[in-house]
Amino acid sequence: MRLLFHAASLLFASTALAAPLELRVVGVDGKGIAGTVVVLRSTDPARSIARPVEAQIDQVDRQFVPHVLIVPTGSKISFPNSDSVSHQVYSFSPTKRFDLPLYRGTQHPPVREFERAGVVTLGCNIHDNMRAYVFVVDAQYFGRTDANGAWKVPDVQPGTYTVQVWHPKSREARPVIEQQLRIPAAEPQLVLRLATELRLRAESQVPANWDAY
Amino acid sequence: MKSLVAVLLAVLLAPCARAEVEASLDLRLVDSNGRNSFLDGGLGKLRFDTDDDGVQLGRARLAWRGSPGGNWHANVDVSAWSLDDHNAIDVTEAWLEWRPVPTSPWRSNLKIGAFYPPISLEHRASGWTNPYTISSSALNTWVGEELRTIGVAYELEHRGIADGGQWDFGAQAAVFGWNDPAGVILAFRGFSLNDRQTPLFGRIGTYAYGYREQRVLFSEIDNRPGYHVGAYAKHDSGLELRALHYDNRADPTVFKPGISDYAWRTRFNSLGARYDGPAGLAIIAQWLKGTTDATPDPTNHWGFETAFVLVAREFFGKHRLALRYDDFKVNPDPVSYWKSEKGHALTLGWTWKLREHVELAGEWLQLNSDVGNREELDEPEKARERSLQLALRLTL
Repeated sequence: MRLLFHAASLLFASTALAAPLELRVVGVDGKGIAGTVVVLRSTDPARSIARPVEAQIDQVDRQFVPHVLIVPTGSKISFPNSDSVSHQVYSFSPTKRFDLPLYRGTQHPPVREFERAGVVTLGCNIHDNMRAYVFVVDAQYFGRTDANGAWKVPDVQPGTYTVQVWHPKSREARPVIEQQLRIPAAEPQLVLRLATELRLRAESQVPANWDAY
Repeated sequence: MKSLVAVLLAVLLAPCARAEVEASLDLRLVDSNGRNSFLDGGLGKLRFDTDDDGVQLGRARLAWRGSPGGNWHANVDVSAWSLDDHNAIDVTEAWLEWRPVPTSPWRSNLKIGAFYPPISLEHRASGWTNPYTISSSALNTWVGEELRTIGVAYELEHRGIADGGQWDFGAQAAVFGWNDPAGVILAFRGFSLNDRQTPLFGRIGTYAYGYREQRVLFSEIDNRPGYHVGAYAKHDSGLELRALHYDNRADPTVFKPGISDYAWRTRFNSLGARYDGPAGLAIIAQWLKGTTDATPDPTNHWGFETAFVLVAREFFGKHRLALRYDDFKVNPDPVSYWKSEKGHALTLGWTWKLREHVELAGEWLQLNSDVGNREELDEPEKARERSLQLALRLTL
């Protein structure tokens, strides 16, 4: 009976204590940084991570859409090609090496499973300006910061987390922030400040739809 | 060469599920005060002279692209510029490329056929089209008129940017034939700013004392292969650098009666830099300097040099403005019969992407030149030629 009571109180705690979280990522100048990828992973190994999803990366006007995608480990991504020209998608990132034979069309898009956590850079062997990033995460919460550098989660359970902040255009191949973070119970608003200036890659600005080759 | 092109055509035109076709039509409205054009045997530097005002065909183009299997890709580009040409419809490029999917930052590719040497930083649209201005720079106009790699090219690249680094590097080497007449147009006519490309079996009009004469550009005369070697570097900030050394290794003492021409020994070095920034900003600068020699007479020697700077920017997502300044000169051996030329040009280009498949382009061009050979035509050596063109471009 006592054990049952204890289990009931734990269940109550895990649902009732989850609270909204607003996390802002700011640079050394205090300004919010848009488009960063934020990943929260509980330090408690017993907690389950986000379940795999089925996602999609299309190819439109010789660009990958979306340009950045975050999925939990084990997710499947399909790659339709809405362009009138064929593409040959590949990745040589250690996280996921693969290539799709030259193809076009959206009827039966090729699908690949992303088993391991890490960053996967996608390219097209025909159109070198095409690039996209898949962040594969084994974590409870993840998302991207908005134009003000803010990322909101409706229901984060309090506890200790490892927070990772990535920027797809960072010149560093590592997270720009990686630290442990205690998230208190009451609707917390947290600010993560970068210790050093973020150096971003400009990437090609060539408008792919104009300068098709 | 003809058999090679025939094989490529057969590969592509055979039932091929992955074959893609591109078609485009460029119609012009022209207002020009240009001197009698080189296309009509004059020493006018523009494609359209004062007699060409009105509606003109800019270019009609049809291209096939396909993959015959594995990592092989094929491309055939066919165009028409004018019904007055030697071949109204002709092939500008035809090649097979082996391009394996990279499994590491290292990538290599092998190209066989007829294609452009990697010089132009302007011609980024399909069909070796310049998306910034209607008329290309003097430098790249010459590339389109007189140069084609008809042979084999191998390129090795290290694509560090895709691997989290800051630089991509590449080096290319090519061996080619059938480009022995390259140089003849620069020597007799000098530089020009236009949008023509000489097709593989076609000819190009050149200065001929006022008479219409068409020269064969792609022919093997001395059975000596030429080569070019080049390298590029791209930084993740958007900067791209290119260098190329070209030598057709032609023997200028060899004459080919079939085309009534000597082999022209042409060598040059070229450098280019391009920066792509935010808001569709593009800054391009290129430089090229070389020499050409023909006939056993060593005084039939010309030096040439040209450079340009282009700045382009997009506006409202659908408009692009480009401004380019060109400078060029050709200097024959001082004791030769031929005279020197020099000139510069200012070009303002505008492109409006009306909607999918429809684009409008406008161009104002002023070209000032001082051409010694105009004396032969009893024309003033100095000329200020202007043209205004409006292009309607439809693509399939």
